[in-house]
Amino acid sequence: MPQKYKILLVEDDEFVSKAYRYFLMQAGYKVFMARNVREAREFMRKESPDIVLLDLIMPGCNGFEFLEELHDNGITEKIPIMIISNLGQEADIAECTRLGAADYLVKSNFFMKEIIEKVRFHLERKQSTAPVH
Amino acid sequence: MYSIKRSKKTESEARAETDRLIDLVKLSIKDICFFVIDRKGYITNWDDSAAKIIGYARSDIIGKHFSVLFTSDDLRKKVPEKEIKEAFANVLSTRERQCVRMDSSHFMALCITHVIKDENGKVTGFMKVVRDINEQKLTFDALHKSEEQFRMLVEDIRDYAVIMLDVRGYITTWNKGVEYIFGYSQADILGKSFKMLHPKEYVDKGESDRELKEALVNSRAEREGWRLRADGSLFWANEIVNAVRNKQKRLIGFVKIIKDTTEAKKSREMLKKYTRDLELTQKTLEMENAEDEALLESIGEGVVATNADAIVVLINKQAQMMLGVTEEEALGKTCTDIWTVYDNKGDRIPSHSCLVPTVLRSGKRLVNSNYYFASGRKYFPAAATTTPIILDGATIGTVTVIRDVTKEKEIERAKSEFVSLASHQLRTPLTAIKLFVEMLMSGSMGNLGGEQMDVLNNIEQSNEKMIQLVDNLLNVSRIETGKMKIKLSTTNLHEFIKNCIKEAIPLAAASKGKILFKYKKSDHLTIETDPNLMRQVMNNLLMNAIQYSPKHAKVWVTLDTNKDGEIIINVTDNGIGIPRESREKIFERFYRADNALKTKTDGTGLGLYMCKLFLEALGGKIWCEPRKGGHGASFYVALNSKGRESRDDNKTTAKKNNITSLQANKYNYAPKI
Repeated sequence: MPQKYKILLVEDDEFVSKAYRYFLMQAGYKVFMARNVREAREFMRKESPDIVLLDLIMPGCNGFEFLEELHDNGITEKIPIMIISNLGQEADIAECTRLGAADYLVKSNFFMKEIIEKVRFHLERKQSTAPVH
Repeated sequence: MYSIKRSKKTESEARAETDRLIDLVKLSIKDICFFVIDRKGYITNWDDSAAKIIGYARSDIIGKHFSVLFTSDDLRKKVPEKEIKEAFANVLSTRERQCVRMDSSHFMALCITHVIKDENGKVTGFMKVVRDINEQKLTFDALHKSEEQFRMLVEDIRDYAVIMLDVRGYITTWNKGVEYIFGYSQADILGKSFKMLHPKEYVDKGESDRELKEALVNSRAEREGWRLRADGSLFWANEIVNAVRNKQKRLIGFVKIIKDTTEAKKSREMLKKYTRDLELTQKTLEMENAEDEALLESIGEGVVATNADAIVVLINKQAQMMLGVTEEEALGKTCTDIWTVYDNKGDRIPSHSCLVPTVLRSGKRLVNSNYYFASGRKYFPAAATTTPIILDGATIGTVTVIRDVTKEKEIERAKSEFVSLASHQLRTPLTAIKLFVEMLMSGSMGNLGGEQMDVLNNIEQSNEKMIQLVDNLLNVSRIETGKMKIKLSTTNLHEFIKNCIKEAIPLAAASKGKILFKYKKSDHLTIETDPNLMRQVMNNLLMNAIQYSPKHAKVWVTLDTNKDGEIIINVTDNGIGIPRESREKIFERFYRADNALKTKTDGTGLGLYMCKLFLEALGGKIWCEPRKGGHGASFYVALNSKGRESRDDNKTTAKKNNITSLQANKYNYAPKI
């Protein structure tokens, strides 16, 4: 059931995050919004999202550093982190891959329905590989 | 009154006084004697003084002819007769001659002969006064002799011109040196002014007079300068002028001693010239050295020269700074001991594979970039070129130029950062537009009418173009900065092209066009290539073919191999074609042919440029020809059938990249057509 899934959307651009939230909610997900890494960190302390959509270029601490934190704490093993960024250079992609990102989407190149497909794909894969409690 | 008184003395008293006076005179005058001869020359009177000086006693000589007192030489010359004759003729006969003593010894005598006449004026005899001037004469002779010797000496000296001048500067005597040095004969110069020996301008300047004046004041003057020969030529002379004075210190003339120092001057000048030349040569050498050094130091690049054993023989300041070594540390050491080379992955390159040893082995120039030289102290990205020094076919050494590319790397990084940030910043609002248009079009916010949908479609399409442009800009920048990563995989070209065409069909269909794929060979061509880059090439070519054709466009795609074994993909259309003058330029960045601009105003001018860059990176090429047998353009893509040549090019990494593990990135994105 999609409603079970909690999505943490870490995105500083007001319009982009508004549109994402709209589509993801339309798709039936529970969306939590963080405008920066600090807010994302706070949320992660209290709750455990099922998937994180993470922008890279944000004011203050950037997405790379946050991803590294999650990677170092073993969180990327448990929670799929989808990078949604408009940085598209190989070096950026390689770095995120190294840090355990589950996917890397150049935002401007994807329609929302494609992104939702990706989200669904990762959530399903996570569920199938997740340890049974 | 007194004198009158005295004159009145008695005559006998007066005579006695006179005799006494005569005796006194005789006594005091020891070198003069008197005797008297008769008219024929026989001695009649002989006084004591004569006996004393000449040696004969009165008794021995009275009555003898006075010729006994003459030397045989004088007798032969009839000097006694001459003396009598002279005296007889009332001439004061004065003669300096040898006088013979009784013992036959001689003495030089000044002999005066006086005639003696009686009261009637008749000559009765002669009085002879003989003065012994022997002492005087001997001294004089000695003097004369030495003077003569001196004169001869002076005369014979050829190296020095010795000239006597009178007080006015007229030449009175000269030596052979004058003739030798000046070329004048005696007649030429005697009695003439010494100024004739000076060049005119020297005389005109008053220098000649100044010489004598200086000699007059200082009793000596010395000059060095040009002197004039009889033939008008000049020679360089050293000249000394001495004022000559007599015992009374009165000036009686000048002596000039002139030496021809032309040769000496020449030698001196030669020496000077040689010295100067040497100095000049040395200076030139130093300057050249300095220039070389300055050049070496100023080029900002490290220069290291080695001999054939890879021993460092030269290292400039830059190289010392770069490598963190001093000249002393580096010289004489093997170059690979001074620095270590790392490849751009940070792996150490073994010494024998370094530039210098390799070049020494091959004798061929090598260039390498992205290498890092380290010396314990310094570690930096460098571009290095090693050139062999070849002499008579043998490699005798190498010259390595090392350029520190830290700055370039920084700039490259900054540029890359800028491009990625700029593209990010551009993309973000485009993303938002894209999403909101999608939101509206999804209908979830209420149904929209056909016209509203059309407007949204237009917004979406424009937005997509903008996104495409940003992507292209980013791509171009990445290729240009060498950031483009190539991910090779085995690709079945037949299938691949079919897929590309499939993707293009919707666009072709929109203008009721057709895409035809022709291939002759039944076996499918496979190739090692980057399908993502190739897809972008094919998309570009197909879209261009459709977009630059009228409705009902026809696009022919063929896949073939040529006789060189190259794979040729051809995309031909029956569109507007490409003007001849634009056929090369269309592959340039931002270039758009005139007719293309009229047909389709929104092209980016980057599509074909990117195709060219991609194909170059893949080891292929692209060119354009007019369509054979009709209007339209024909684009050819040639690929090496073995795929991309494995070049040792550090700019692109031919290895399969771990990024391929990601499911999606921009190259996985199929363009919306």
